[in-house]
Amino acid sequence: MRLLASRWRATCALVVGAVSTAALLACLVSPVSAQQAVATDDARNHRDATAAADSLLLRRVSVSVDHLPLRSALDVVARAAGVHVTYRLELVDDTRKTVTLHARNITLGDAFGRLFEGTALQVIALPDARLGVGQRATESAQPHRGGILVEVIEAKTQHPLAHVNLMLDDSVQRAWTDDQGHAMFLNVSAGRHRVSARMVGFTRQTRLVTTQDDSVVTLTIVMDGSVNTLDQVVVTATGAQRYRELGHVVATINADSLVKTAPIMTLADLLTSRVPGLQVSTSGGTVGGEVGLRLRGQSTLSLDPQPIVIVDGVRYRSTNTISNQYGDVVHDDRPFQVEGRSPLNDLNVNDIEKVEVVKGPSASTLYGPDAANGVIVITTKRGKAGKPEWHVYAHPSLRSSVPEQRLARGYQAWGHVPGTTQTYAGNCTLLQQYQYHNCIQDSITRAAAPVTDPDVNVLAPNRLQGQAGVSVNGGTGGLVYYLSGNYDSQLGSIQVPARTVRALQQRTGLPITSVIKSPNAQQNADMHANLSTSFGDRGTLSLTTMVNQSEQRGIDVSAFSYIYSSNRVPAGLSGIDSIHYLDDHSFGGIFLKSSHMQSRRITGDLSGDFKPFAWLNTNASVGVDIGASTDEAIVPTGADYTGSDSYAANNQRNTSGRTMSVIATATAKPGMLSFRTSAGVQYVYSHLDGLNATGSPLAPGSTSIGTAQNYYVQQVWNELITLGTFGEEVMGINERLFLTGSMRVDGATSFGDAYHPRLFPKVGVSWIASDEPMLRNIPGLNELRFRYSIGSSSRAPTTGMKLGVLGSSRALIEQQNQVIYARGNLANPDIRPERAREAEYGIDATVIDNRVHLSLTGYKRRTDDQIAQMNEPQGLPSSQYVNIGNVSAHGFETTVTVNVIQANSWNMDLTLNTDYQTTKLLSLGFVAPSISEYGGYAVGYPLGAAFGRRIIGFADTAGGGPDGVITSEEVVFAPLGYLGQLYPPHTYTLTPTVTLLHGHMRLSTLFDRETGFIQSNPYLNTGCADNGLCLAGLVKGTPLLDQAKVVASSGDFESGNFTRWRELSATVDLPERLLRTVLLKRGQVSVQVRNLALWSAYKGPDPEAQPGAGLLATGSNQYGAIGVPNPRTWTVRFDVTP
Amino acid sequence: MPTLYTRSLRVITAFGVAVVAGCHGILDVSDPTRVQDSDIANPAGANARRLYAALNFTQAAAQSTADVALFTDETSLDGRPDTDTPLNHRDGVAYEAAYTSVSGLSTQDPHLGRWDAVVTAADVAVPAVRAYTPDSLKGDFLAHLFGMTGYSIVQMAEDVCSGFPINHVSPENRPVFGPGFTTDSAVKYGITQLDSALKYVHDSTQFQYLAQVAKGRALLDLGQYAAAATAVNGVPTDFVYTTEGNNDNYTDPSQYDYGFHNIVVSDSEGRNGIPFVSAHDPRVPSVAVGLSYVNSPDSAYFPTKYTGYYAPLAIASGTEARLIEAEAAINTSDPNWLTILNALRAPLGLPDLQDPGSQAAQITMLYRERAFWLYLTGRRLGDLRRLIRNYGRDPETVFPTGAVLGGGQYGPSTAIPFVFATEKTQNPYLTSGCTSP
Repeated sequence: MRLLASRWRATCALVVGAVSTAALLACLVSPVSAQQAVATDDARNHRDATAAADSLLLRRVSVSVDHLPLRSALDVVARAAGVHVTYRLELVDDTRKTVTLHARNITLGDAFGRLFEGTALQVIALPDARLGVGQRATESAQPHRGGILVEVIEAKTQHPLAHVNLMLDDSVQRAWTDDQGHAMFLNVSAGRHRVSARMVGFTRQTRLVTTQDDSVVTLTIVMDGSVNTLDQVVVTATGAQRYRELGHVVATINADSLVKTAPIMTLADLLTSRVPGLQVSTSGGTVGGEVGLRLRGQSTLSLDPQPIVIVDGVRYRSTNTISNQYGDVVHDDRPFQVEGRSPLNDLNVNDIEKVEVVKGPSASTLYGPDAANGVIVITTKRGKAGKPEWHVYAHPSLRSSVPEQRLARGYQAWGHVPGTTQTYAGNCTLLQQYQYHNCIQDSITRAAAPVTDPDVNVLAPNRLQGQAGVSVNGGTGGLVYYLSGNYDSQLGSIQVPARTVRALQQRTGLPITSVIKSPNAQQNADMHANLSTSFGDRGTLSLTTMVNQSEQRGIDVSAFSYIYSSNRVPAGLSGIDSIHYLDDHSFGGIFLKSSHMQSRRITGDLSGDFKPFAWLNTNASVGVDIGASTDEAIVPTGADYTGSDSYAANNQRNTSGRTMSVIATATAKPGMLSFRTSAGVQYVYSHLDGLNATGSPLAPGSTSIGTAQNYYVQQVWNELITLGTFGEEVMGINERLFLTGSMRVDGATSFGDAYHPRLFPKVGVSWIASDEPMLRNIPGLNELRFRYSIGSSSRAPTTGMKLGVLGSSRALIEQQNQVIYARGNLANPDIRPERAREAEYGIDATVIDNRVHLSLTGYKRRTDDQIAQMNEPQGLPSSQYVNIGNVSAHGFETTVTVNVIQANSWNMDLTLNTDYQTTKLLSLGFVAPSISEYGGYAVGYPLGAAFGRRIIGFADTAGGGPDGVITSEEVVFAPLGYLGQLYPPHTYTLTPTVTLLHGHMRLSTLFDRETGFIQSNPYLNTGCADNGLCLAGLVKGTPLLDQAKVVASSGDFESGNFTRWRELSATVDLPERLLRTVLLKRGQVSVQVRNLALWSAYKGPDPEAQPGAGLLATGSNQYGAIGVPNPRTWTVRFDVTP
Repeated sequence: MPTLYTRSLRVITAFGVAVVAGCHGILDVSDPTRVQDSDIANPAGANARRLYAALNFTQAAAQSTADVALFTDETSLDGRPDTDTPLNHRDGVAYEAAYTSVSGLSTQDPHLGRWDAVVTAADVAVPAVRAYTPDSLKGDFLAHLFGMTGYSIVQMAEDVCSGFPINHVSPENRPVFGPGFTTDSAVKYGITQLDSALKYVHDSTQFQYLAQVAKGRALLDLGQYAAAATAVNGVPTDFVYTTEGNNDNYTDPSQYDYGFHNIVVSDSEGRNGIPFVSAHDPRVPSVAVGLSYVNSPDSAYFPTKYTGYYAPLAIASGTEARLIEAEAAINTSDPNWLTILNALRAPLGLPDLQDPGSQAAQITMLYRERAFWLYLTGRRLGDLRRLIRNYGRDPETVFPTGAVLGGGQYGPSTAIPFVFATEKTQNPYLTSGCTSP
């Protein structure tokens, strides 16, 4: 005790000012390695600064605190003295001390001394006129009076970086930077020390610094943001792990920073073109539609091919595919061919901290059933200790139409019925005239311009929309919080052309409301809350809740096709009479079919870490994901040109998911080895049930299905429960070689009764070659890692595939509308999960002073026990799903990041991602292939292949000889065969980023190229003439090959290759002086543009706009319709911190 | 002090024990919103299953009617060549190929499969009716189900080439494949089902007469004419058993369009066909719909026997019972056959027929009468095949033959083939397709 007191006095003498300023100044030398640390050597400035801090301790204050926690008391004293005190929260909170102090006019040093009585804490003067709190040496330890003040700044912006994890000498001391980017190590012995800094999304930095006794050394560390560097910490199935330990690649998207500087409104925007191997498909310019994710191609025939999504440890319903009333996995369409709403839209990107992409079975083994498609791990934002920090953002944006040239300007061939003067009611094509003799052509006129003529333009020139939100975070060391609320409103590009509005008015006699004129819109409101508390070093508890409410008006996916194809009507015609011949009344009717969806969703997670021993960490997590939606759709009387009755539909969906997991991880570091042993149990429950009800006709004037005379109701249901247990061992040797072995075993409701649980193993190797002594000194080589991983994972069948499906419906039988129970798919009690096995190998290299980073990854995968639908045996009520067939896949992914220019005031980075991926169906047993123009599969071909009949010749001979007209009999087709692949096997993205003005201005852009695939263009051939979108087939003498294509009954495919200038953004930090005048701390403005240009040989409006695109192996564009082209979006985003 | 591995092992063991202990029942599906077999284990559920069989019966009858009409001389396609079908050409090879994909596998048989679906639906319904239907209704419901099953099997036998399979579904909802049937063996199998119907029938004369007429047909097919007449004894002439038509092809002449609703009434199709148009017979009503694509400048005639999508389709009737009795009479040299036919014609104002003399001519006359009376009811193919099988006619004298209007030649098929490709990969009892044409 006496010893302690003497040390305390000595320390006090140092820090409270009992020693002379000269003595302190003498300590302020900064002998830091010139190469690795930026330590100021301006001794004069340093001395002055520290002297100023020292003088602070002499400042006199009056204090009155009563039973306050030490931290609060500390803050009171600091505020009273008007000084800034840096300290680690847990250091203070761990004392669990409450303080009572009533004193007037005492020195600050004395006040702190009395606050810290009975603790091991001390206050110290820091060089930049601030004070720090640190821990005194323990009684048994040799006291040291040296210290290291660490300043951490971000390389590009030069801004302080908070919450950086610092480690002194491999865990001797740990600290985290405060809001000013500062942290303090005290009691540091004289000599050479290693300080390492790490933070998610930044390259780990290690600096050597030499301290002397009685001195405080300032060390500045510059953190460089970078993806896929070895010391990045990633979330794995067994908890956080360093990337260097993993044998597989994990891609990380730092959403928090990206969302503020890039044109991103949705999760689909965030994921598109940022991760090699991840393809994102949307339906184009509609809002609130489907989003399809596919990782490393597709390798399932009948199941949902999308990766699973995990948000904060909770399995998150992310796809719009369901098991329908027949037990088949299909798109969950809404009534009237309205695309189902992607559940991914329920996540607000402004609340996401980061997204990690685990690509295949070699990495996803421990995630259990369905992880064979890969895993997307989303971490939402958490609170950070400190005063409440508010963040407000808003980004109004403008959607503008596609350029005129992407939409063909049509033609109308006028004609009359042979032998009469009656006008022919249709487009009098060559085929109608010469083959069917239905008309005789009189003249051809040019149609109105599809984009610039408002009479026919189905794409709104401009749409104003926006998103705004506010968040606050803060708290004490014991409890931190993050709260946010967001709202966004979006309007789809499609509009009702003026002429159609007039037609609708004439036909219905009703005013056409703005809702009808803008039939596609979406509004979202969501809230996100996270509360986290820590119990010293023993554990943490975190509660996260996300609530989303949305409304959406949907539009028939064919609406754009219909209206666009009617643009051949000559300009100037108006009124229902003039357009009657085009059946335009039916097109207008599409817009009277309203489809209005409301959905609510709540997702929550309670997770806790408990560390009973230093070597053992346990984590338990319970999460729920509950949603409900109602979609009401009405066809009023007269909307349908066929004269059908009024009609209503009501789709209800209820979904619920529960995730529970318990994981224990033990660690040990005996000598040069390190061990990390994990074991866990996971329970996942997912359930969807719903009803599709339709009724017709409705009572006059009614818009409710409740008044319908006849009903038809179908049930949608699926339930899947999985229970799995897993274990993993990671052994490290010298921090350079890591060997991973893991195993998972599952049971699931959808596994057949005869299924015997299989083990799903994984083995990984990661070798940090650059840390080997022989390679350490290779000039220019910073990091070099070789990795290899092989693992397997499964994809569960739906429960309906195991049990079969029994569905109720109604039908007219014996002259009455009666209930029947019909068997859907037959049961297969022996069904097993699909089993995918993948080997992945790769290299990560960082060279040339960390300026070039290269990541190369190859993989080879085989999926066995493919589940396919058996051909319907004759007479059986339906089919049966069986395990049959194999699919192989392989691919290669690269990421190259180059720091092209690194200058004092500006910086330029270039990132190039490429990937190649292909699949092949190896066998299919006795099951028939799925042969279709719009996608399917057959042995020897990739999944998602298109099959059709190519034109191999034509002869203008019919009709008595060459007549300049090709009719269908004159075209010769090849047998049905493979046409091409519908999913692009090659993708390339280029992202240049320029940072200017010392990081205060950032320019970024993104180019995307996808090649090697074909895309359907329903108006390319057969539709071309009928819809007047080309002259071939309308005008005698046009090239015969073009005419042959027009009369062909198949083959509406062409190359879908494209290059898109997808993003451009400029972000600037607002000057502090300006911000202060409006009482703001920080602020930035970003101007962002999305979809700036498209270069493609594809003749349709947009090769990426394919409704229902590519979600299933059996269909790319399942509707056969042209999607609304992706609009160009201009956005101005404001981010401010009051 | 335990080692790290000892500790880890303990942890893993603890988890394993927890999993095993917690597994019991956790992976059972127990959602109440899903309809399961147990949920409809009641009278209403049993009835719903019976009605599902009836729905399949309705759909099969409609499909069969259309197929048979095209295959025989009842209707033709009068549209673009690319909408033509091998059925219209009596081309069994092309027919099977049309339903067989590039890899040699196929989808479900569109004709036989429809009828087999009635059988499989009844497979599920019969045990449910036995178990849950009240006694007051049970006999009639079973009669209905067995009657539909028997009718379906007889229709299969009449339409489909010899060697076709009849598949079933097990109570466990799994496929049960059946062996190939010859025409005779299938007819006999059908008769057993119809006998069951007659055994169970309680109050319903509808179901009783349905089974009687179908059994009479079946016995005709077997050449047991006297037994056939006995079978239909007591069926009143005004009896009609109808199903909802599902008349996709014949509903509305205003929808007639080349290449789409393009089925027209045949008129002496393929030389041997009945002149259904030229005869101007009220039993085959039709309306001219304009120019014919394949037969320009002749007019196309649209069948108007069914005037709505759900217009009732008479699949068994007292008229057919009388026609069966007439055929039995001819085969037993009973002159009453002509009286029966003329008695049927009289209410329509049709003139009396005169005895042509020879039995062969009498049969020809009878079958012409059947063609008009049973037009578009799916009987014609069975009739033509019976003329060949029972009366030794040359197929080329009864089926359309020669050139097809619109191009091509009629093929040699005298029955609709079944699509074998799927069956050969899945049905262990079947090694070949049609064993005879």
